[in-house]
Amino acid sequence: MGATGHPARGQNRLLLALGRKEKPEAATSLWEDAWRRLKRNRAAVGSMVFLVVLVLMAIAAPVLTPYSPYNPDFSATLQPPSREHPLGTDELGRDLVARLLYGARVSLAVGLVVQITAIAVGALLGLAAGYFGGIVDTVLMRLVDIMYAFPSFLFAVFMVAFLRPSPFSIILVLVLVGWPFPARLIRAQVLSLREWEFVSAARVVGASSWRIMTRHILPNTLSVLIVHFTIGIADVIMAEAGLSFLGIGIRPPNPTWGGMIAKGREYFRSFPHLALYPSIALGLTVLAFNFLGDGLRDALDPRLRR
Amino acid sequence: MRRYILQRVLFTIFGMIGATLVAFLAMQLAPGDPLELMAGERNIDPAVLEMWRRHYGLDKPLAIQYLIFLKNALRGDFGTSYYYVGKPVLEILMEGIPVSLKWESVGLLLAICLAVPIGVITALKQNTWIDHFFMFFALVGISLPSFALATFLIVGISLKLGWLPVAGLSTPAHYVLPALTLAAHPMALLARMIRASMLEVIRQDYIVTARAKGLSERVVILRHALRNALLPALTIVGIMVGRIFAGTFLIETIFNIPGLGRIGVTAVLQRDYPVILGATVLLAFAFLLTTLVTDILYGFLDPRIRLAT
Repeated sequence: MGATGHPARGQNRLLLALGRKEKPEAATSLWEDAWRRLKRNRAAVGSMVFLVVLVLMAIAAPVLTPYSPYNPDFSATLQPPSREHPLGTDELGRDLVARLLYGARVSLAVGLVVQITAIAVGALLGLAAGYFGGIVDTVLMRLVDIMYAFPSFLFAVFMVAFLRPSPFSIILVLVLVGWPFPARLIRAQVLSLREWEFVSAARVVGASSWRIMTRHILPNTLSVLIVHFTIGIADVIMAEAGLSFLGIGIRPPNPTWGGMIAKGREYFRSFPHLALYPSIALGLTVLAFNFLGDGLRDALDPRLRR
Repeated sequence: MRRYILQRVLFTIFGMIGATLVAFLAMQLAPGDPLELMAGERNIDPAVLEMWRRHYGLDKPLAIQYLIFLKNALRGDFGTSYYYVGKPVLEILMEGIPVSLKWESVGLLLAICLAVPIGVITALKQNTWIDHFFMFFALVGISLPSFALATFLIVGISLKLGWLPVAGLSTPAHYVLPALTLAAHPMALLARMIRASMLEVIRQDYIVTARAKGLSERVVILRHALRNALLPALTIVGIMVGRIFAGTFLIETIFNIPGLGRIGVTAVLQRDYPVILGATVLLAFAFLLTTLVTDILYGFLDPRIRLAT
């Protein structure tokens, strides 16, 4: 990489998102340009590598560990790390590595499914609100205001109480608290985009509202959505872990990081590692999504601020 | 200014009605008949059930039920618990409120007292190792889930070092870890915010003027720069208070603190709907009111806001 002739570049590493201006570079596509900027950001690249490895490990969990995350083994409860069990076993003799790997599946799957659904719903409603304005906008935005009146985790805990406990309920609740933010984000984007000439031009050549929204406006909001998607996954994973920690999320014996921390809490004094390892896994994953999201924001649109 | 306040008050009232409406409707989604839940495992005479039905107004249409609920909620009457049959919800909640307020205010204070100096110092030492060090921890503080942080603190400070107690709230030392856990996230946000606005402020002309007048650096920073830099931070404090209400669930559970948050979680586990409803409405009201106070305070402090509306 070497010197780039830009004095601020070396300081980008900590993502201090302050007083920085990127100079426009040689004519390349937005994505090539963004990728070049992202590659220079060590924290973001490190996080990306970590997340890719995590995803691969979660997928390959059955190959990586011979143990089941469900079946108890009462001859091997609460064992310290050993050759057979690199991180030891829990109170039911289940291998911690297996629990963590299968727990990663839950965290990542919930994070992805919730974020994709919430963004799809939010983007659609935000597009409609921003594009049509008037009564559609008023109704949708008042709905968003109501959702904003609660802290979202409070709302999630509250909603979970009224649904049958199942992974589907958890996903539903997290989508319910997750859609207002992208809706507002996209609406704001649409409001500024629809004044652009390319939208009037599309209308003049007879494009339908649907076509203008999905083909002309939506692609222009993509970079904002990608950033929100990445950082939002961290929030969803945290929320799912929080609910599972409280015992109202995904139920045991399913391995979840939040549930493992809650169970480990009971053995704090003698076996602190039971809560410590899932906390580390959760902390690193959330941190990685945040770092990557920050990096993407800087890479995709240097003018954006948190 | 009057119009601005009126606007904020109206918004708050609108939010409160929205909150109670959402809460009330969610109640209707709850699986099972509330009377069956009240009866629980016990065998209760159908005549008594019928009496309960009338007593709780469950025989009336939904809209009327909502209005009754709203009227009672405004008077602080959230009905009686299903789990501890007959015990008023407010009484149950009141046991937790002072406990939560006590340790949370310590946390909030801690966050502010640490964030202001960190924000100022990192701004003055921009791009030095001090700045990078603190801002890295700020990012970690923003990203780390509170109960994961709590685990690290408990394992490290209480168990390995033996410096502080693990759970409960019996002595002042018990307050340190929960307050610190609670403070981490808002402190990080606030420190970043103060740093950012300090950086903006110290480049302003009036700071140059103040220096040119020959004022000491301390006066320039504290009297001229910090005052202006703190303004935007006020909103963050408002958001902080809001987040605190939600954070109580997790932190009170992990530290075994018998506050409002744990009462709420226990109620969720017991499916004690009136208590859940009461706790949620109370927390939402508290959140909306702090937002209102923040907004009005902001209007007083920054003339641009009230003039714009």
